[in-house]
Amino acid sequence: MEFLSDLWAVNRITVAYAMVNAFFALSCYAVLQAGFLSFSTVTFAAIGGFLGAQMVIHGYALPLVFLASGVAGTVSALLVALVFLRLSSHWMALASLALVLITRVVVLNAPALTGGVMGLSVPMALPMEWLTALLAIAMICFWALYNSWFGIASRVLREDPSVAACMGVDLRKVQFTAFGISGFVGGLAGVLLALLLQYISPDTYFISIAFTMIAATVLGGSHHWLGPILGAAVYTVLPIASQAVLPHVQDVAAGVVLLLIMIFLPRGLIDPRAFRLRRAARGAK
Amino acid sequence: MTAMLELDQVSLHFGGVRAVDNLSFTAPKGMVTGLMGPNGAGKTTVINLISGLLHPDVGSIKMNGHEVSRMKPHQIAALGLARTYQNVRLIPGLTALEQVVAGSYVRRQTSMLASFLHTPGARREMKAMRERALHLLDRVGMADAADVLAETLSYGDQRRIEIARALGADPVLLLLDEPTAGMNPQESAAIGRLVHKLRDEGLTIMMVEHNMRLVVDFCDTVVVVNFGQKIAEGTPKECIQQPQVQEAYFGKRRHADSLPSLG
Repeated sequence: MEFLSDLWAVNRITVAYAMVNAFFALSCYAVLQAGFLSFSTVTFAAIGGFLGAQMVIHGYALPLVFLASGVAGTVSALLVALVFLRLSSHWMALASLALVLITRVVVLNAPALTGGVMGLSVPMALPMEWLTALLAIAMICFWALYNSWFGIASRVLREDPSVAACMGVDLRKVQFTAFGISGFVGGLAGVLLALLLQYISPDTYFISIAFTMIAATVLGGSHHWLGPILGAAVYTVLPIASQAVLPHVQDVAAGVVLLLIMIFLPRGLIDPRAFRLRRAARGAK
Repeated sequence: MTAMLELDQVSLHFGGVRAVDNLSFTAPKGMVTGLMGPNGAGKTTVINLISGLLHPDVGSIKMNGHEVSRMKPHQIAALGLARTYQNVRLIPGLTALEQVVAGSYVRRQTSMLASFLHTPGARREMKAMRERALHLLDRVGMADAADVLAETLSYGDQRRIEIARALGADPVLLLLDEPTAGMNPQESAAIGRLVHKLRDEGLTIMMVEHNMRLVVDFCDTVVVVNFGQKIAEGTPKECIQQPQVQEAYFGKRRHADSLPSLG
């Protein structure tokens, strides 16, 4: 019994990280499903994170903190989209990377709000129940989106924008909506990370989290909402597992597994198309 | 005889190339209009102009009385235009049925929010759309393939699914860009019969077609273009007998006469 509770105590934090990373990956997926690779989730997370941290410090209730961070993320995402949607896709990826760099500079130079170089301590731990509940809600929402007209339109838009337009899809509207969703989930991811770490600084919302979320999304698969969630879990657990199994070459082992997944499952772990192709092949036999 | 589609002195230049040059023609309501011309004549450019993927430099395009030359594709689609593509453009990863449901996008009545919330009304609508899609697949003879990944089907079958997808929009004007490319004569004739049936139900159709047999058998009126200009317009039989049309397709007689001397 004691062994089990020890095991949970050790792994609880890993599970919590995997869940928070899932929010980051879902935010990244939200724009990717409309055809855009964008790192701007990091910026939305920084805005949601620092706003949420300040609200926690000032004693606001958690539900209000989550809502405010999400809304702040959405507002910033729509403003970003206003500029970014003028760019073609490769340039947008670069511009979003620039935005991540700018975000850090802004965070560093606004110490009144962000604590500057010193960062902010968050006087509250993230309750596991809240994290689980929010992820469950997010999953239901992404399931509903996937099966809605928005989901249908965005799948067509991602594969072939001109075909989507000729079908009557207002491309701009779908793209804006995708950014709005990415902003809400990104803002929420930011405050969840702040509560998990209980300390945030300019480096919290920077390149490493951008890399984590892209890797998790690509790894899990960006063609189904479950992909980013599974990808985040694998990406979070893999380094820890490889440390336990092969302590001396853990980084190499984790890297090799990532490479193998990318080579053999280029569309990610969860790919509805591959699933259907396999089913069709079985049916043909 | 009223016009469903009316092009008036439409020109489009790509740099120095006149892709479409002062082109005027009308496609009458409730008829099948053929758009003919040799390779590179600008037929697909004309289709792209009508569907709003390209905008003319000058000239006007009227569809069902609306000036559409400056509109975006999705606005034109909302006015009742649907199309297929020369090089079949189905969406990878979707089944035949899902392709047609996606094609019905413009016909949806529920708002984005209701659709997201899966309200009873939205669920009913999605169910009705799926049933309708199945019916449309049946019309093009592909009902058996409803749950098959469309990309695994043969080229000819994919073309038929693309036609069903376009019909999903319940259009008033249907543009078919080479609907029978890659089909055998029987399959082509089946497409021709389907086109006739749709016309008899009141749909206006404009199709780009190379197959002379099909043009003569199934088009009510024909426009022939070459180098972006109209070189003939009228009934199919009249058009293909005109010397400038034969010249565009087969070359000049005196060139043919001089061929033996080359050997």
